[in-house]
Amino acid sequence: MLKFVGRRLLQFVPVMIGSTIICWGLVWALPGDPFRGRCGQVVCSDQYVQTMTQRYGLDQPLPVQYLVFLRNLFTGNLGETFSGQDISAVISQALPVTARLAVLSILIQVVLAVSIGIYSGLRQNGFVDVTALFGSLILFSLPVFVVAFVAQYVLGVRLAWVKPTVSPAAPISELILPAAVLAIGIMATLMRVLRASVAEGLHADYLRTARAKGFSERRVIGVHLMRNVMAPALNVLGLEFAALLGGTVIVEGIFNIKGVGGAIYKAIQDREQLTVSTMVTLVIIFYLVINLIVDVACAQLDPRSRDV
Amino acid sequence: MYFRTRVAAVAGAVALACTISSCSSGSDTSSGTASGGGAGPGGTLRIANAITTDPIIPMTVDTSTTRVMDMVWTGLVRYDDKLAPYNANAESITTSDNTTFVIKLKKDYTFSDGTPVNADSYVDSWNYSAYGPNAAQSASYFSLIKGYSATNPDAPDGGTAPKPTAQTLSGLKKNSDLEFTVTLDKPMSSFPSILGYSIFYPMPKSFFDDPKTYEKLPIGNGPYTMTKLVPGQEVDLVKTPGFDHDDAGKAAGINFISFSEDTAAYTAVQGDQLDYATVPTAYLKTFQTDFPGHSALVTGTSMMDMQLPLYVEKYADPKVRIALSMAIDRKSIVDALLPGAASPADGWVSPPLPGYEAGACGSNCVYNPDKAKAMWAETNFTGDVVITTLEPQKTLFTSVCQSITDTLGVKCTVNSIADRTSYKAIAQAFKAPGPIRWGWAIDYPTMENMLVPRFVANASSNWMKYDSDGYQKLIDEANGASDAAAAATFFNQAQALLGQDMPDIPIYFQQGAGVWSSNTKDLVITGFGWPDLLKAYKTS
Repeated sequence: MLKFVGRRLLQFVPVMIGSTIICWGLVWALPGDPFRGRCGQVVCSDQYVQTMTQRYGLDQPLPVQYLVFLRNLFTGNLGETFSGQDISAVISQALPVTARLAVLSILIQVVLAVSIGIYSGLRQNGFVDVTALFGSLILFSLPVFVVAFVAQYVLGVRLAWVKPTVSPAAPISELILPAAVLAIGIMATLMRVLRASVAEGLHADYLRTARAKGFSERRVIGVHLMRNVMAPALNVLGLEFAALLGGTVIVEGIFNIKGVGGAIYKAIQDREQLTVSTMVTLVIIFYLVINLIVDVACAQLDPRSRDV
Repeated sequence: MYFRTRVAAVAGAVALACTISSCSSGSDTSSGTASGGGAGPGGTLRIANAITTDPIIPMTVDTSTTRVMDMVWTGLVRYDDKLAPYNANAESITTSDNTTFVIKLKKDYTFSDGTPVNADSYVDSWNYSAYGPNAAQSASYFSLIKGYSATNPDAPDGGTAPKPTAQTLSGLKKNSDLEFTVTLDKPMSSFPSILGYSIFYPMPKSFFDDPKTYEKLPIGNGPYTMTKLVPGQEVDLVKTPGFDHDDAGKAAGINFISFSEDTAAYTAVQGDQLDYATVPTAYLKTFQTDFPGHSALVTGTSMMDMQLPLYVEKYADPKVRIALSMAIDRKSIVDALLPGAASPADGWVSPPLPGYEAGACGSNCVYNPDKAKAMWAETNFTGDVVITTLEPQKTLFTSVCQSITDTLGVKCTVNSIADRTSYKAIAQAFKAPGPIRWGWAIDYPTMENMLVPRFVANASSNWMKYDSDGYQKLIDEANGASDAAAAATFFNQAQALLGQDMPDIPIYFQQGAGVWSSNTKDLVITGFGWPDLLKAYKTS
């Protein structure tokens, strides 16, 4: 197992280098001077542009800038944004909010999708199964902002059960609604995967064997079946969790959540190359770590996948 | 079958838990700033404001930052509801030639750290902003003061900017502790009325000692004091203790909360998480029924127009530009897209500004399809009209395009750009293929601010390469005029000249609409399209 984890950690290195170079290059290739347009309606003075360009090292050759960025990452001194804010401060503002939102959303998703998915897999074509299939298809096909606006208006404004937007402190109570909206948008996948694997597992040889051995039904379903069902579900969850870390810009905007997605979006608009690359690197690290955890868990569940 | 019942039980428990937690969150008052800090006599106003992460100091040029600074600082002058300036920190501003201004300060203003506001606070602050290596966004505004070219020399074409030869503006002189003299490069009669703009605010000594630390929680000399600043997210203010001046506020505190989407802010007012938000376009038709009695529509000072690239050969002929202007049915477009929120523009100075004259542009800004067609026939225009716009105004300019095609029969397409920096770069690099969307919001309420930075040759926002001696002459006359009324006459003549040259086609004047919570009192939206927060307060 240690060897397996070690090998995966080694794979991080080329992935990190490749993805940061791509990200760096993409922001650099965007048209527009990052400083010229920073003075409101008037153009910035030449002195301003020149001083800022030197201060942020944008007069250096591109490879040098990239190496500085790498050095920053390794020394932990991430540098500052064009507004003079520490990039680490930007991250430590946005990350906890995004983390809370993502975890909450995954929890909601797991509870709903796992219970409904497994139940409808066990009772195929039953009432729950048909209703869930129908409902999840409708929710899945609706754009997330439609669900978000409707939920915000009905639950937040009309019924006033929850606060319609999230205040800067972003307490859990205010994040439940956006987390649920995000969960609804993606949980159909998990539900379908679970339903299919449960349904398939019910007819598998290993289950018949387990039953023939005389194990209790509780052990047959709860251990033998679940172990095989969980692996694909974990993979789906891992990917979704990673996607929630950076890809929730639209929902963040609707509920006014100051998360990582919005921070990256703003940094791209402002041509904050260093900020974008640092934050994207962070998201990539999370992505890789989460996938590693998922793989380790899958390997635990299913010894066959260890050799891959 | 134990498993199934367990699943059902878990699901049931979770459903219950959700219900409980969402119910409790409805009555949750302990969270964040939503409940407000000090519940003093005037309450705490929660205001939606798109604060950027830039430091909230006079060197930053940004409308939402200015809105915070206006509360934390008291400038030499302030503006009343009608946008007329009155002396605030200034005791008097006097001049005999519109070039040399003697500014006397009131003696009892202090910064909230206790240090006095004196002539140095202003002179040092302005010198700091004007000095190139300090990289102040506001630097170019100081070009009207004598000596700017020495502190902030321009780069020669394509070259690097030379080192400044002076650290301070030669046009700034301290006379005594509470008096200083400003000498301008050229006469400008409206100079006293621009001094309420946040870039002219004074700075305490602590800023110059250590700007980085100062920026963490800036200190001003105004009616409110910052108690908390989270860049790009929120700024909390409380009434400055012991502030005893005419421009004192009524509310006990003000919390500015950043909203990246104006629809979210509007919703937050509905959900009682905010006390004021501006109305997003999508709600213009319903806001008065959503907020009966606590909403208002006010003619604002910003305008929308499209600049014409005079540097592109086919737009060099004024007849082309005038024909395009007369081909646009402004009224129908505005009525259809922005009902009640805009009025067709009849010039380049917004109606609420002192000196505004209706129809200043003349008949060339009025829809006249027959005349437009006749004039178009006289030109040698070839190819299509391509309008460059920013994504939010795509619908607007698609309608403008349609109107042009309907009238002139020329093919017109819209190139919509989502990314603000790319869009600005097109205009600022003089690479617009045709008309390009441009908006203008005033920095300070003078006609000068709408006419000089944009249309004087080589001015800071002249992206058309418009260069007219006649225009310059009228502006000079206006700036040198003895009183505001005389200046307005020249400014309006200058607009009439713009109407003949048509370097830029005005489309509409924006009107501001805002909504506020039911327990917010005395809220008045001024010509800035923003409430006068010094007068508003809250009852609990």
